[in-house]
Amino acid sequence: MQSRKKIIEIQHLKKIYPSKNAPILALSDVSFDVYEEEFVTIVGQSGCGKTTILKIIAGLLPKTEGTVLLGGQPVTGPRASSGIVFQQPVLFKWRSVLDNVLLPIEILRRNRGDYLQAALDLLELTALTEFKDRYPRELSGGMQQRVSICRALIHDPPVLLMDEPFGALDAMTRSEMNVELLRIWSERRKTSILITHSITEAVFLADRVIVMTPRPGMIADIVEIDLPRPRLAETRVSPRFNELVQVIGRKIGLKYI
Amino acid sequence: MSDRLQTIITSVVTIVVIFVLWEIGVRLFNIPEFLVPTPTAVLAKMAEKASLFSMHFYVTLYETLLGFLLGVVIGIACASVIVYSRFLANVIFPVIVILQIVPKVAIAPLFLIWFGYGWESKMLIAFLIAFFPIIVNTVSGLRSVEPEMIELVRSLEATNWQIFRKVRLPNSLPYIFSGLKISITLAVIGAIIGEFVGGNEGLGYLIIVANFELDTPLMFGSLVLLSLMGLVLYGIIELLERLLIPWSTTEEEKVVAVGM
Repeated sequence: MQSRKKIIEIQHLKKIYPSKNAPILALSDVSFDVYEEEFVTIVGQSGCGKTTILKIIAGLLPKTEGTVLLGGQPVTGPRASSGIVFQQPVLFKWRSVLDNVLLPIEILRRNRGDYLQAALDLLELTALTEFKDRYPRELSGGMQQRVSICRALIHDPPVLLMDEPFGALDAMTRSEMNVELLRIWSERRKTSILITHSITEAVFLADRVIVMTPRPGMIADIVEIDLPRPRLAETRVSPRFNELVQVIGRKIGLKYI
Repeated sequence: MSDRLQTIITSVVTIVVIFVLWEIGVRLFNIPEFLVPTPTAVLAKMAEKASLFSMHFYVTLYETLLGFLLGVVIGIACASVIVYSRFLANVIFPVIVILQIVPKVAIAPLFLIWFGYGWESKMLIAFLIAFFPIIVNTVSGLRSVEPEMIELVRSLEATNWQIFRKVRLPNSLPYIFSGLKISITLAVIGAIIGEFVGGNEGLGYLIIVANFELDTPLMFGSLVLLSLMGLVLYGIIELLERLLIPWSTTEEEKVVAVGM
Protein backbone atom coordinates (compact mmCIF):
# COMPACT_ATOMS: atom_id res chain seq x y z
CA MET A 1 0.00 0.00 0.00
CA GLN A 2 2.67 2.50 1.04
CA SER A 3 4.62 2.00 -2.18
CA ARG A 4 1.67 3.30 -4.20
CA LYS A 5 1.37 6.83 -5.44
CA LYS A 6 -0.29 9.36 -3.19
CA ILE A 7 -3.13 11.11 -5.01
CA ILE A 8 -4.50 13.18 -2.16
CA GLU A 9 -2.29 14.51 0.62
CA ILE A 10 -3.80 16.41 3.52
CA GLN A 11 -1.66 17.80 6.31
CA HIS A 12 -2.75 19.71 9.41
CA LEU A 13 -5.94 20.86 7.74
CA LYS A 14 -7.90 23.36 9.78
CA LYS A 15 -11.19 25.02 8.91
CA ILE A 16 -12.86 27.82 10.80
CA TYR A 17 -16.23 29.10 9.62
CA PRO A 18 -16.23 32.82 10.33
CA SER A 19 -19.22 34.06 12.27
CA LYS A 20 -19.96 37.40 13.90
CA ASN A 21 -20.44 36.08 17.41
CA ALA A 22 -18.30 32.99 17.68
CA PRO A 23 -16.26 31.54 14.81
CA ILE A 24 -16.92 27.82 14.43
CA LEU A 25 -13.95 25.48 14.43
CA ALA A 26 -15.15 22.82 11.99
CA LEU A 27 -11.91 20.92 11.44
CA SER A 28 -8.89 20.80 13.67
CA ASP A 29 -5.58 19.33 12.53
CA VAL A 30 -6.78 16.74 10.04
CA SER A 31 -4.06 14.78 8.24
CA PHE A 32 -4.39 11.81 5.93
CA ASP A 33 -3.31 10.55 2.53
CA VAL A 34 -5.24 8.69 -0.13
CA TYR A 35 -3.38 6.42 -2.51
CA GLU A 36 -4.01 5.81 -6.17
CA GLU A 37 -7.06 3.61 -6.79
CA GLU A 38 -7.76 3.42 -3.11
CA PHE A 39 -11.30 3.55 -1.72
CA VAL A 40 -11.42 5.56 1.48
CA THR A 41 -14.55 6.21 3.48
CA ILE A 42 -14.93 8.89 6.11
CA VAL A 43 -17.40 8.06 8.83
CA GLY A 44 -18.64 10.14 11.72
CA GLN A 45 -21.68 11.66 13.34
CA SER A 46 -23.41 14.74 11.97
CA GLY A 47 -21.41 17.91 12.41
CA CYS A 48 -17.98 16.31 12.46
CA GLY A 49 -16.87 18.21 9.35
CA LYS A 50 -16.97 15.30 6.90
CA THR A 51 -18.60 17.33 4.16
CA THR A 52 -16.24 20.23 4.83
CA ILE A 53 -13.23 18.00 4.10
CA LEU A 54 -14.78 16.87 0.82
CA LYS A 55 -15.63 20.39 -0.30
CA ILE A 56 -12.11 21.59 0.50
CA ILE A 57 -10.63 18.74 -1.58
CA ALA A 58 -13.02 19.65 -4.42
CA GLY A 59 -11.83 23.26 -4.18
CA LEU A 60 -15.37 24.48 -3.47
CA LEU A 61 -14.48 25.77 -0.02
CA PRO A 62 -11.31 27.58 1.08
CA LYS A 63 -9.28 26.06 3.89
CA THR A 64 -8.16 28.08 6.89
CA GLU A 65 -4.79 26.40 7.50
CA GLY A 66 -2.84 23.38 6.37
CA THR A 67 -1.87 21.71 3.12
CA VAL A 68 -4.16 20.01 0.63
CA LEU A 69 -2.52 18.44 -2.42
CA LEU A 70 -4.38 16.79 -5.25
CA GLY A 71 -2.11 14.91 -7.63
CA GLY A 72 0.85 16.75 -6.08
CA GLN A 73 -0.67 20.19 -6.79
CA PRO A 74 -2.03 22.48 -4.07
CA VAL A 75 -5.80 22.90 -4.26
CA THR A 76 -6.62 26.58 -4.67
CA GLY A 77 -10.02 26.42 -6.37
CA PRO A 78 -12.27 24.06 -8.28
CA ARG A 79 -10.48 21.81 -10.72
CA ALA A 80 -12.11 19.34 -13.05
CA SER A 81 -9.87 16.54 -11.76
CA SER A 82 -12.58 15.30 -9.43
CA GLY A 83 -16.03 13.92 -10.04
CA ILE A 84 -18.58 14.77 -7.37
CA VAL A 85 -21.68 12.91 -6.21
CA PHE A 86 -23.95 14.62 -3.70
CA GLN A 87 -26.50 13.23 -1.26
CA GLN A 88 -29.26 14.31 -3.63
CA PRO A 89 -28.83 13.25 -7.26
CA VAL A 90 -28.88 16.96 -8.34
CA LEU A 91 -29.93 16.01 -11.85
CA PHE A 92 -30.96 18.78 -14.24
CA LYS A 93 -34.65 18.18 -14.73
CA TRP A 94 -34.69 19.76 -18.18
CA ARG A 95 -32.11 17.33 -19.52
CA SER A 96 -32.58 13.71 -20.50
CA VAL A 97 -30.59 11.06 -18.66
CA LEU A 98 -28.00 10.98 -21.44
CA ASP A 99 -27.71 14.78 -21.52
CA ASN A 100 -27.30 14.84 -17.76
CA VAL A 101 -24.43 12.39 -18.01
CA LEU A 102 -22.81 14.52 -20.73
CA LEU A 103 -23.18 17.81 -18.81
CA PRO A 104 -19.55 17.89 -17.57
CA ILE A 105 -18.35 17.51 -21.16
CA GLU A 106 -20.29 20.63 -22.16
CA ILE A 107 -19.07 22.61 -19.17
CA LEU A 108 -15.48 21.58 -19.94
CA ARG A 109 -16.05 22.65 -23.57
CA ARG A 110 -14.98 19.30 -24.91
CA ASN A 111 -16.44 17.65 -27.98
CA ARG A 112 -19.68 15.91 -27.05
CA GLY A 113 -19.33 13.40 -29.87
CA ASP A 114 -16.05 12.12 -28.46
CA TYR A 115 -17.76 11.18 -25.21
CA LEU A 116 -21.06 9.83 -26.48
CA GLN A 117 -19.83 6.24 -26.52
CA ALA A 118 -18.30 6.66 -23.05
CA ALA A 119 -21.66 7.92 -21.77
CA LEU A 120 -23.50 5.00 -23.31
CA ASP A 121 -20.95 2.60 -21.81
CA LEU A 122 -21.49 4.11 -18.36
CA LEU A 123 -25.26 3.84 -18.73
CA GLU A 124 -24.79 0.23 -19.80
CA LEU A 125 -22.59 -0.38 -16.76
CA THR A 126 -25.29 1.02 -14.47
CA ALA A 127 -28.14 -0.76 -16.30
CA LEU A 128 -29.72 2.51 -17.45
CA THR A 129 -29.43 2.08 -21.21
CA GLU A 130 -33.15 1.88 -21.82
CA PHE A 131 -33.72 5.08 -19.80
CA LYS A 132 -31.22 7.26 -21.63
CA ASP A 133 -33.88 9.45 -23.26
CA ARG A 134 -36.08 9.79 -20.18
CA TYR A 135 -36.30 12.84 -17.95
CA PRO A 136 -34.97 12.45 -14.38
CA ARG A 137 -38.44 12.73 -12.82
CA GLU A 138 -39.40 9.50 -14.56
CA LEU A 139 -36.69 7.59 -12.65
CA SER A 140 -36.64 6.12 -9.13
CA GLY A 141 -34.31 7.56 -6.47
CA GLY A 142 -31.77 4.77 -6.86
CA MET A 143 -31.73 5.13 -10.64
CA GLN A 144 -31.29 8.90 -10.36
CA GLN A 145 -28.30 8.44 -8.09
CA ARG A 146 -26.80 5.97 -10.59
CA VAL A 147 -27.16 8.65 -13.27
CA SER A 148 -25.32 11.12 -11.06
CA ILE A 149 -22.49 8.59 -10.58
CA CYS A 150 -22.25 8.23 -14.37
CA ARG A 151 -22.12 12.01 -14.63
CA ALA A 152 -19.29 12.15 -12.09
CA LEU A 153 -17.29 9.60 -14.11
CA ILE A 154 -17.90 10.82 -17.68
CA HIS A 155 -14.87 13.10 -17.96
CA ASP A 156 -12.70 10.34 -16.50
CA PRO A 157 -11.48 12.30 -13.47
CA PRO A 158 -8.73 10.67 -11.42
CA VAL A 159 -10.67 11.24 -8.20
CA LEU A 160 -14.27 10.46 -7.25
CA LEU A 161 -15.72 12.38 -4.29
CA MET A 162 -19.03 11.20 -2.84
CA ASP A 163 -20.91 12.99 -0.07
CA GLU A 164 -23.36 10.55 1.51
CA PRO A 165 -24.52 9.49 -1.95
CA PHE A 166 -26.98 6.93 -0.65
CA GLY A 167 -28.20 8.83 2.42
CA ALA A 168 -31.52 9.71 0.84
CA LEU A 169 -32.32 6.16 -0.27
CA ASP A 170 -34.26 3.51 1.60
CA ALA A 171 -32.27 0.79 3.38
CA MET A 172 -32.82 -1.92 0.78
CA THR A 173 -31.94 0.26 -2.21
CA ARG A 174 -28.99 1.52 -0.24
CA SER A 175 -27.37 -1.91 0.26
CA GLU A 176 -28.01 -2.73 -3.39
CA MET A 177 -26.36 0.53 -4.39
CA ASN A 178 -23.32 -0.33 -2.23
CA VAL A 179 -22.77 -3.55 -4.16
CA GLU A 180 -23.45 -1.68 -7.40
CA LEU A 181 -20.92 1.05 -6.55
CA LEU A 182 -18.21 -1.52 -5.82
CA ARG A 183 -18.96 -3.17 -9.16
CA ILE A 184 -18.59 0.18 -10.96
CA TRP A 185 -15.48 0.95 -8.95
CA SER A 186 -13.89 -2.40 -9.84
CA GLU A 187 -14.48 -1.61 -13.53
CA ARG A 188 -13.31 2.00 -13.35
CA ARG A 189 -10.65 2.08 -10.70
CA LYS A 190 -10.86 5.59 -9.33
CA THR A 191 -9.29 7.00 -6.23
CA SER A 192 -12.47 7.40 -4.21
CA ILE A 193 -13.52 9.18 -1.05
CA LEU A 194 -17.00 8.48 0.22
CA ILE A 195 -18.58 10.17 3.20
CA THR A 196 -21.20 8.40 5.22
CA HIS A 197 -22.67 8.20 8.69
CA SER A 198 -23.40 4.51 8.23
CA ILE A 199 -20.61 2.43 9.77
CA THR A 200 -21.66 -0.71 7.87
CA GLU A 201 -21.56 1.17 4.59
CA ALA A 202 -18.15 2.61 5.46
CA VAL A 203 -16.71 -0.83 6.26
CA PHE A 204 -18.34 -2.56 3.32
CA LEU A 205 -16.93 -0.18 0.71
CA ALA A 206 -13.54 0.86 2.00
CA ASP A 207 -9.91 -0.12 1.87
CA ARG A 208 -9.49 2.22 4.81
CA VAL A 209 -12.04 3.92 7.04
CA ILE A 210 -11.26 7.35 8.48
CA VAL A 211 -13.12 7.67 11.76
CA MET A 212 -13.98 11.21 12.81
CA THR A 213 -15.10 12.71 16.09
CA PRO A 214 -17.30 15.80 16.15
CA ARG A 215 -16.84 19.39 17.32
CA PRO A 216 -14.23 20.15 16.34
CA GLY A 217 -13.84 17.56 13.59
CA MET A 218 -10.78 15.44 14.26
CA ILE A 219 -9.57 12.06 13.09
CA ALA A 220 -10.04 9.51 15.86
CA ASP A 221 -8.36 6.72 13.94
CA ILE A 222 -7.82 5.26 10.51
CA VAL A 223 -8.83 1.60 10.25
CA GLU A 224 -7.54 -0.76 7.55
CA ILE A 225 -10.33 -2.96 6.22
CA ASP A 226 -8.82 -6.34 5.42
CA LEU A 227 -11.99 -7.91 4.03
CA PRO A 228 -11.31 -9.70 0.75
CA ARG A 229 -12.60 -8.27 -2.54
CA PRO A 230 -14.84 -8.61 -4.44
CA ARG A 231 -17.25 -7.92 -1.63
CA LEU A 232 -20.74 -9.19 -2.02
CA ALA A 233 -23.93 -9.13 0.02
CA GLU A 234 -22.59 -12.11 2.00
CA THR A 235 -19.64 -10.04 3.20
CA ARG A 236 -22.01 -8.18 5.51
CA VAL A 237 -22.69 -11.28 7.60
CA SER A 238 -19.08 -12.40 7.98
CA PRO A 239 -17.66 -12.30 11.55
CA ARG A 240 -14.73 -10.11 10.51
CA PHE A 241 -17.15 -7.55 9.07
CA ASN A 242 -19.06 -7.31 12.32
CA GLU A 243 -15.87 -7.11 14.29
CA LEU A 244 -14.69 -4.14 12.21
CA VAL A 245 -18.08 -2.44 12.56
CA GLN A 246 -17.85 -2.77 16.34
CA VAL A 247 -14.27 -1.49 16.47
CA ILE A 248 -15.23 1.60 14.47
CA GLY A 249 -18.40 2.17 16.44
CA ARG A 250 -16.42 2.29 19.66
CA LYS A 251 -13.91 4.71 18.17
CA ILE A 252 -16.72 7.06 17.19
CA GLY A 253 -17.90 6.88 20.78
CA LEU A 254 -21.10 4.91 20.41
CA LYS A 255 -22.05 2.90 23.49
CA TYR A 256 -24.44 0.54 21.75
CA ILE A 257 -23.90 -1.03 18.37
CA MET B 1 -58.35 11.81 -23.02
CA SER B 2 -62.06 11.00 -22.82
CA ASP B 3 -62.14 12.95 -19.54
CA ARG B 4 -60.62 15.87 -21.37
CA LEU B 5 -63.20 15.59 -24.13
CA GLN B 6 -65.92 15.55 -21.51
CA THR B 7 -64.48 18.72 -19.94
CA ILE B 8 -64.53 20.46 -23.31
CA ILE B 9 -68.08 19.33 -24.07
CA THR B 10 -69.28 20.51 -20.65
CA SER B 11 -67.70 23.95 -21.13
CA VAL B 12 -69.11 24.37 -24.63
CA VAL B 13 -72.58 23.27 -23.58
CA THR B 14 -72.52 25.67 -20.62
CA ILE B 15 -71.57 28.60 -22.85
CA VAL B 16 -74.22 27.73 -25.42
CA VAL B 17 -76.89 27.42 -22.70
CA ILE B 18 -75.93 30.85 -21.31
CA PHE B 19 -76.26 32.44 -24.77
CA VAL B 20 -79.60 30.74 -25.44
CA LEU B 21 -80.99 31.90 -22.06
CA TRP B 22 -79.66 35.39 -22.80
CA GLU B 23 -81.35 35.43 -26.21
CA ILE B 24 -84.64 34.17 -24.78
CA GLY B 25 -84.49 36.54 -21.79
CA VAL B 26 -83.90 39.64 -23.90
CA ARG B 27 -86.72 38.74 -26.30
CA LEU B 28 -89.13 37.67 -23.55
CA PHE B 29 -88.76 40.84 -21.47
CA ASN B 30 -88.47 43.14 -24.49
CA ILE B 31 -85.22 44.66 -23.31
CA PRO B 32 -84.22 47.50 -25.65
CA GLU B 33 -81.16 46.82 -27.80
CA PHE B 34 -79.16 49.81 -26.49
CA LEU B 35 -79.28 48.23 -23.02
CA VAL B 36 -78.63 44.58 -23.83
CA PRO B 37 -78.51 43.34 -27.40
CA THR B 38 -79.26 39.69 -28.17
CA PRO B 39 -76.29 37.43 -29.05
CA THR B 40 -77.72 37.11 -32.57
CA ALA B 41 -77.83 40.91 -32.92
CA VAL B 42 -74.19 41.09 -31.81
CA LEU B 43 -73.22 38.41 -34.33
CA ALA B 44 -75.16 40.23 -37.05
CA LYS B 45 -73.34 43.45 -36.21
CA MET B 46 -69.99 41.65 -36.32
CA ALA B 47 -70.78 40.20 -39.73
CA GLU B 48 -72.05 43.52 -41.04
CA LYS B 49 -69.03 45.54 -39.83
CA ALA B 50 -66.46 42.76 -40.33
CA SER B 51 -63.86 44.96 -42.03
CA LEU B 52 -64.21 47.72 -39.42
CA PHE B 53 -63.81 45.19 -36.60
CA SER B 54 -60.83 43.47 -38.18
CA MET B 55 -59.00 46.75 -38.81
CA HIS B 56 -59.34 47.83 -35.16
CA PHE B 57 -58.65 44.29 -33.95
CA TYR B 58 -55.29 44.22 -35.71
CA VAL B 59 -54.32 47.61 -34.29
CA THR B 60 -54.96 46.44 -30.73
CA LEU B 61 -53.27 43.10 -31.39
CA TYR B 62 -50.22 44.89 -32.77
CA GLU B 63 -49.94 47.23 -29.77
CA THR B 64 -50.47 44.34 -27.36
CA LEU B 65 -47.86 42.08 -28.94
CA LEU B 66 -45.26 44.83 -29.23
CA GLY B 67 -45.78 45.88 -25.62
CA PHE B 68 -45.67 42.28 -24.48
CA LEU B 69 -42.49 41.46 -26.43
CA LEU B 70 -40.82 44.58 -25.09
CA GLY B 71 -41.86 43.46 -21.61
CA VAL B 72 -40.37 40.00 -22.19
CA VAL B 73 -37.03 41.29 -23.45
CA ILE B 74 -36.58 44.06 -20.89
CA GLY B 75 -38.12 42.02 -18.07
CA ILE B 76 -35.80 39.05 -18.53
CA ALA B 77 -32.77 41.29 -19.09
CA CYS B 78 -33.50 43.33 -15.93
CA ALA B 79 -34.09 40.16 -13.93
CA SER B 80 -30.73 38.72 -15.04
CA VAL B 81 -28.95 41.92 -14.06
CA ILE B 82 -30.71 41.99 -10.68
CA VAL B 83 -29.70 38.41 -9.93
CA TYR B 84 -26.05 39.01 -10.81
CA SER B 85 -25.39 42.44 -9.37
CA ARG B 86 -26.38 43.52 -5.90
CA PHE B 87 -25.56 47.13 -6.76
CA LEU B 88 -27.72 47.21 -9.89
CA ALA B 89 -30.46 45.38 -8.01
CA ASN B 90 -30.45 48.24 -5.52
CA VAL B 91 -30.65 50.72 -8.40
CA ILE B 92 -33.35 48.94 -10.40
CA PHE B 93 -35.65 47.68 -7.66
CA PRO B 94 -36.85 51.06 -6.31
CA VAL B 95 -37.61 52.21 -9.86
CA ILE B 96 -39.61 49.06 -10.56
CA VAL B 97 -41.49 49.31 -7.29
CA ILE B 98 -42.42 52.96 -7.99
CA LEU B 99 -43.55 52.03 -11.51
CA GLN B 100 -45.61 49.22 -10.07
CA ILE B 101 -47.22 51.36 -7.36
CA VAL B 102 -48.34 54.15 -9.71
CA PRO B 103 -51.68 53.10 -11.25
CA LYS B 104 -51.07 52.56 -14.94
CA VAL B 105 -54.47 54.02 -15.82
CA ALA B 106 -53.42 57.25 -14.11
CA ILE B 107 -50.19 57.68 -16.05
CA ALA B 108 -51.72 56.76 -19.40
CA PRO B 109 -52.61 60.42 -20.23
CA LEU B 110 -49.00 61.41 -19.50
CA PHE B 111 -47.77 58.76 -21.92
CA LEU B 112 -50.05 60.16 -24.60
CA ILE B 113 -48.54 63.61 -24.10
CA TRP B 114 -45.02 62.18 -24.23
CA PHE B 115 -45.33 59.61 -26.98
CA GLY B 116 -48.23 60.87 -29.06
CA TYR B 117 -51.66 59.50 -29.89
CA GLY B 118 -50.38 56.73 -32.16
CA TRP B 119 -49.55 53.10 -31.37
CA GLU B 120 -46.30 53.98 -29.56
CA SER B 121 -47.98 55.26 -26.39
CA LYS B 122 -50.33 52.24 -26.29
CA MET B 123 -47.44 49.84 -26.76
CA LEU B 124 -45.58 51.49 -23.90
CA ILE B 125 -48.57 51.29 -21.56
CA ALA B 126 -48.99 47.62 -22.49
CA PHE B 127 -45.28 47.13 -21.85
CA LEU B 128 -45.39 48.85 -18.49
CA ILE B 129 -48.26 46.73 -17.23
CA ALA B 130 -46.89 43.44 -18.69
CA PHE B 131 -43.35 43.97 -17.48
CA PHE B 132 -43.81 43.47 -13.75
CA PRO B 133 -44.99 39.83 -13.61
CA ILE B 134 -42.21 38.85 -16.00
CA ILE B 135 -39.43 40.44 -14.00
CA VAL B 136 -40.72 39.16 -10.66
CA ASN B 137 -41.13 35.60 -11.92
CA THR B 138 -37.81 35.57 -13.74
CA VAL B 139 -35.94 36.83 -10.68
CA SER B 140 -37.43 34.11 -8.50
CA GLY B 141 -36.77 31.51 -11.20
CA LEU B 142 -33.13 32.51 -11.57
CA ARG B 143 -32.69 32.52 -7.81
CA SER B 144 -34.43 29.25 -7.02
CA VAL B 145 -31.55 27.05 -8.15
CA GLU B 146 -30.43 24.23 -5.88
CA PRO B 147 -27.04 25.31 -4.47
CA GLU B 148 -25.61 21.87 -5.30
CA MET B 149 -26.33 22.46 -9.00
CA ILE B 150 -24.10 25.51 -8.90
CA GLU B 151 -21.46 23.66 -6.87
CA LEU B 152 -21.50 20.81 -9.35
CA VAL B 153 -20.78 22.99 -12.37
CA ARG B 154 -18.37 25.14 -10.36
CA SER B 155 -16.39 22.01 -9.53
CA LEU B 156 -16.01 21.63 -13.29
CA GLU B 157 -14.59 25.15 -13.52
CA ALA B 158 -17.72 26.59 -15.12
CA THR B 159 -17.67 30.26 -16.09
CA ASN B 160 -20.37 32.64 -14.85
CA TRP B 161 -21.87 32.64 -18.32
CA GLN B 162 -22.05 28.83 -18.31
CA ILE B 163 -23.72 28.88 -14.90
CA PHE B 164 -26.30 31.30 -16.29
CA ARG B 165 -26.79 29.57 -19.62
CA LYS B 166 -26.73 25.93 -18.45
CA VAL B 167 -28.20 26.18 -14.95
CA ARG B 168 -30.01 29.37 -13.99
CA LEU B 169 -31.79 30.14 -17.25
CA PRO B 170 -33.26 26.67 -17.96
CA ASN B 171 -34.18 26.37 -14.29
CA SER B 172 -36.12 29.63 -14.50
CA LEU B 173 -38.13 28.74 -17.62
CA PRO B 174 -41.21 27.37 -15.82
CA TYR B 175 -41.28 30.54 -13.69
CA ILE B 176 -40.82 32.75 -16.74
CA PHE B 177 -43.72 31.02 -18.47
CA SER B 178 -46.09 31.55 -15.55
CA GLY B 179 -45.07 35.22 -15.69
CA LEU B 180 -45.73 35.33 -19.44
CA LYS B 181 -49.20 33.89 -19.00
CA ILE B 182 -50.14 36.64 -16.57
CA SER B 183 -48.45 39.31 -18.67
CA ILE B 184 -50.06 38.52 -21.99
CA THR B 185 -53.55 39.15 -20.67
CA LEU B 186 -52.34 42.27 -18.85
CA ALA B 187 -50.78 43.56 -22.09
CA VAL B 188 -54.22 43.48 -23.74
CA ILE B 189 -55.58 45.55 -20.85
CA GLY B 190 -52.68 48.01 -21.21
CA ALA B 191 -53.36 48.56 -24.91
CA ILE B 192 -57.07 49.12 -24.24
CA ILE B 193 -56.33 51.63 -21.47
CA GLY B 194 -54.18 53.57 -23.92
CA GLU B 195 -56.91 53.51 -26.55
CA PHE B 196 -59.53 54.67 -24.04
CA VAL B 197 -57.45 57.69 -23.11
CA GLY B 198 -56.84 58.90 -26.62
CA GLY B 199 -56.37 58.00 -30.25
CA ASN B 200 -58.47 56.98 -33.21
CA GLU B 201 -57.75 53.30 -33.65
CA GLY B 202 -58.14 49.98 -31.87
CA LEU B 203 -60.93 48.07 -30.16
CA GLY B 204 -60.68 50.32 -27.10
CA TYR B 205 -61.34 53.32 -29.33
CA LEU B 206 -64.21 51.44 -30.98
CA ILE B 207 -65.79 50.84 -27.56
CA ILE B 208 -65.58 54.58 -26.77
CA VAL B 209 -67.20 55.41 -30.14
CA ALA B 210 -69.94 52.83 -29.58
CA ASN B 211 -70.50 54.35 -26.16
CA PHE B 212 -71.06 57.84 -27.59
CA GLU B 213 -73.42 56.51 -30.24
CA LEU B 214 -75.21 54.16 -27.83
CA ASP B 215 -74.41 51.42 -30.34
CA THR B 216 -74.41 48.59 -27.77
CA PRO B 217 -74.11 45.74 -30.33
CA LEU B 218 -70.93 47.40 -31.59
CA MET B 219 -69.65 47.54 -28.02
CA PHE B 220 -70.47 43.89 -27.38
CA GLY B 221 -68.82 42.92 -30.67
CA SER B 222 -65.63 44.66 -29.55
CA LEU B 223 -65.79 42.89 -26.19
CA VAL B 224 -66.16 39.52 -27.89
CA LEU B 225 -63.11 40.17 -30.05
CA LEU B 226 -61.07 41.40 -27.08
CA SER B 227 -61.92 38.29 -25.09
CA LEU B 228 -61.03 36.11 -28.06
CA MET B 229 -57.73 37.93 -28.43
CA GLY B 230 -56.83 37.38 -24.77
CA LEU B 231 -57.90 33.75 -24.93
CA VAL B 232 -55.96 32.92 -28.09
CA LEU B 233 -52.80 34.73 -26.95
CA TYR B 234 -52.93 32.89 -23.62
CA GLY B 235 -53.43 29.61 -25.49
CA ILE B 236 -50.40 30.30 -27.67
CA ILE B 237 -48.19 30.91 -24.61
CA GLU B 238 -49.45 27.70 -23.04
CA LEU B 239 -48.77 25.79 -26.24
CA LEU B 240 -45.25 27.22 -26.42
CA GLU B 241 -44.73 26.19 -22.79
CA ARG B 242 -45.78 22.66 -23.57
CA LEU B 243 -43.50 22.50 -26.62
CA LEU B 244 -40.45 24.23 -25.14
CA ILE B 245 -40.38 22.84 -21.61
CA PRO B 246 -42.02 19.42 -21.73
CA TRP B 247 -40.00 18.48 -18.64
CA SER B 248 -41.69 21.08 -16.45
CA THR B 249 -43.35 19.62 -13.38
CA THR B 250 -46.08 22.26 -13.39
CA GLU B 251 -47.06 20.79 -16.73
CA GLU B 252 -47.08 17.36 -15.13
CA GLU B 253 -49.40 18.57 -12.37
CA LYS B 254 -51.68 20.12 -14.95
CA VAL B 255 -51.93 16.86 -16.88
CA VAL B 256 -52.66 15.03 -13.66
CA ALA B 257 -55.38 17.54 -12.76
CA VAL B 258 -57.00 17.19 -16.18
CA GLY B 259 -56.67 13.42 -15.90
CA MET B 260 -58.65 13.42 -12.68
